[in-house]
Amino acid sequence: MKIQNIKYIALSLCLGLLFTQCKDDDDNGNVIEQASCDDGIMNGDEEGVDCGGSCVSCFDLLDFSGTYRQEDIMGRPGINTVFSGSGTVKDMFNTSLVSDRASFQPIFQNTLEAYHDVYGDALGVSLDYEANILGLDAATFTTVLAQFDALQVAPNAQTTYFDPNTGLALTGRTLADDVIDISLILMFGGNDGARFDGNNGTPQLTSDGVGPGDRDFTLPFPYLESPVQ
Amino acid sequence: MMKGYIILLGLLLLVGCESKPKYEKITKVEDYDVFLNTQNTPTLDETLLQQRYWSNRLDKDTTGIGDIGQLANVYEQLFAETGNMQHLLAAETLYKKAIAISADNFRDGFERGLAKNYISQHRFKEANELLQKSFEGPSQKRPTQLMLFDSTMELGDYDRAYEYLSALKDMSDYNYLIRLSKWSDHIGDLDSAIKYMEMAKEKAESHESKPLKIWSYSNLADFYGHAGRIKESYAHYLKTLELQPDNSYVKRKIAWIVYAAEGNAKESHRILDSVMKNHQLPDYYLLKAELYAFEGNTAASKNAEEQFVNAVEAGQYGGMYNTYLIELYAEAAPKKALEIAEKEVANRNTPLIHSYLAFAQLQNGQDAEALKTIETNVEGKTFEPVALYHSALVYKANGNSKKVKELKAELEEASFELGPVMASKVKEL
Amino acid sequence: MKKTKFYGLLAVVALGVFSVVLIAADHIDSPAVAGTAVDIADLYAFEGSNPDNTVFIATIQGPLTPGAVTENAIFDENVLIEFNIDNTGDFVEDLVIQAIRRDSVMYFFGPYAPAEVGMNSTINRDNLAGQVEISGIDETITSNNNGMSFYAGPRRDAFYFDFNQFNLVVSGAAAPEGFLPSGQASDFFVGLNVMAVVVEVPNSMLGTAPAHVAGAVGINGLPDAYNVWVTTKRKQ
Repeated sequence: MKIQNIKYIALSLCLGLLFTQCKDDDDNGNVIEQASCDDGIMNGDEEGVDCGGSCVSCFDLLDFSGTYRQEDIMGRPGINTVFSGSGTVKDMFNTSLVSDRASFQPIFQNTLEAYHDVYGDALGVSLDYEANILGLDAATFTTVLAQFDALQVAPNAQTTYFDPNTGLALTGRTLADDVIDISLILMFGGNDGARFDGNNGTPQLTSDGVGPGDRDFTLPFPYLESPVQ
Repeated sequence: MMKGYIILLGLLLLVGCESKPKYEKITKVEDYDVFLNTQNTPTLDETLLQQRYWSNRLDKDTTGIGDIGQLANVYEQLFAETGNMQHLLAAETLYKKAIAISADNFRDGFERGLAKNYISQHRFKEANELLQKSFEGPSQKRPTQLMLFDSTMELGDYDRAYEYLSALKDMSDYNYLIRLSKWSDHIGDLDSAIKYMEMAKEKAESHESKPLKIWSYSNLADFYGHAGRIKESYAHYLKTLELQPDNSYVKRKIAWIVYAAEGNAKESHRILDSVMKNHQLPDYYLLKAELYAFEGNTAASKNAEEQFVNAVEAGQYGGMYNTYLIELYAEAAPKKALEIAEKEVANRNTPLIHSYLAFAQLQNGQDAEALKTIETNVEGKTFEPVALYHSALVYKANGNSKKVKELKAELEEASFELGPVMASKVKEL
Repeated sequence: MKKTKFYGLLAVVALGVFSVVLIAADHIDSPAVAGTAVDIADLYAFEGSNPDNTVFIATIQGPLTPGAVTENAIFDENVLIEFNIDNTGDFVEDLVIQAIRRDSVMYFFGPYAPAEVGMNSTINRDNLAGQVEISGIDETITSNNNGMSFYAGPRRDAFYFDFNQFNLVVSGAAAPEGFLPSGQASDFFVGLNVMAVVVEVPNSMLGTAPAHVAGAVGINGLPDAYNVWVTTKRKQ
């Protein structure tokens, strides 16, 4: 534990006290070696250097002013990486607003078709995207991806990106959800979800073949595992 | 009559004494001694762990682009930390492999990595071509454009560099500020260069980015040195070492202060000896040679030069040491020096490199050509002391004493940067 | 014999040459262009272990290798991490939950209606929701206030993906068979870490959820749902 951190533990313990009035009971009279609120030392009843206790609250000393400008954005997983198709579009997407993405739809549709062309060329046939298991054609599917790029999160229902057991979809994203396989099925699965599943001479495009492995998703808050050492 | 000679001699001695460089104590051994411990290499130790981590992963999957890219970065760092050229070449190989197997939309990151690698190898044209191509392709524009500024500056294409810089303007961006600083230095506005580098330093501090702080402190220290603000320069080198005790670049700079500002060649040797244990750039032999020359030890100086040339020849450094070799060959093998200079001008068309060409022409008795080179491609285009010194030599050979006098005055202001040996050469101009 | 003469001459040259050469050596390349402190790796949003709560997780700066790289990773004080919640269905944020570091503490604000929506944000300090000391690699510090819970620090990356094979798949010709069967496929993120910000919020603070957006494309029957996204914003 760093010494530096100790004061912040003290600080967070006093969270409830943050907004209490400074007690004006400093006895500035006769004692020479008295703690003061401007000596650059954490002393007396201070919770940080010259703040907390009978000095000004530590939170009040912090600066949160200024304007912050967007540099990155994410709604659904992998959308920008998979569909932007270029670093240029990726940069534009990252500095765009969710409600202002109409111009990205044709780019996304183009990328979706390009992925199919890649495999068409490899297989020596002409391949196009086919309406997916949700019944969405290329234009509608990429409209959903480009223009409604947020996680839908249901407060009063199961939350999942897609749960094959319940059939529920797009009500959240849990740590366990296999978002890659779900996305691949929607992109390459066709109307039954199994169009390019590696069988019948097709390439495997509906699953990346990896699961969560030894990850533990049953933990209490903060839900994520400790870092790998 | 005799008396007159004695007086004259006395005067000469007096003048001689006065013209001796004035040394000033800047450094304290106890400030930096702790950093000379050659066992304390935290940066290198960590990089070696990274190397092992990503190598192990790559062994299992040689088509793993994520692992290849990470390992390439690690080898770049290893080169910086050891000076071993093999690491830089390994990084080049890995970046090329990554580019070869990359999907179109991931490629530009690796292309920037390779371009940076080429710049380190002084392969500026290749770097620039790669960046141009990448910029026109599906790349992230801003980082690519930042690097295009770097490559065009190296190539001496200043108009284009300025266009890139103008397009990138963002005073809140560290990456922009350090380039604005570099540009200011290029146009001879050292005050602005320092101002922008100080702003960049504050950015790095506010981001609490250790690598950017290290970069800012050491570069700011260099600028303070250019400006003759040696105490501040030294203080910032020390700040760098506090963050990174195994920073060889900075230790070499402190060795320079100890020698050039304090005249203490012995201590400078001691610092360099410690640096050379863990870092293997040929450069150190040159500084050693100068220290020996300063001490009047001709044999040792000669030996250090030989070690330098051997190290360059053995090290697969390509053209990285061409300017050094031009200087070294100029008197003994002027034809060879001229050949290298012509090659180097084709590699990077900067005023500084043209000054080397002029110097080589001069050494080949081509006084008129040398003058033409200086007048066409150097004069008024750079403020680098080296270029000014070369210019002065050329003007002197061509009998333009007015120019020599002007340049001499400018060079005398750069006496710290030039060092005592060189400063005495300036006096002879 | 030539060599001897050559080096003999060099010694004479030495007095003039070396400083020039040494100044010329003052060439450090620019550092690699990078801005990882703003790079979002993932967004998760799910029902908490208390079903009346929703958990928001943003992971950034991935991938971090174990050891010193993870240990040295920090949240940038200039970077605001902002969860955006649209509870009217127009994909404009009605509420934000903001997180930003000061010294060794992560401060959380909201959920509150921001003064400004869109590209630029400010922080209204009156909306402080709580704070938590940022955890190190071998500790997990959480805090609670007013029904909300907070965490900030390094965590194991929960995301799994054969990224290397994906690269080959999108290049097409490099992987005509597509992805690899399980067993041969490998998860790029398996041994790597990220920096995570986790906040759990009672649903009562998030307003009423709008009709699910899927209705707009003819997919009906899904439960009412907020639209949620995360942004990183850098101080200007």
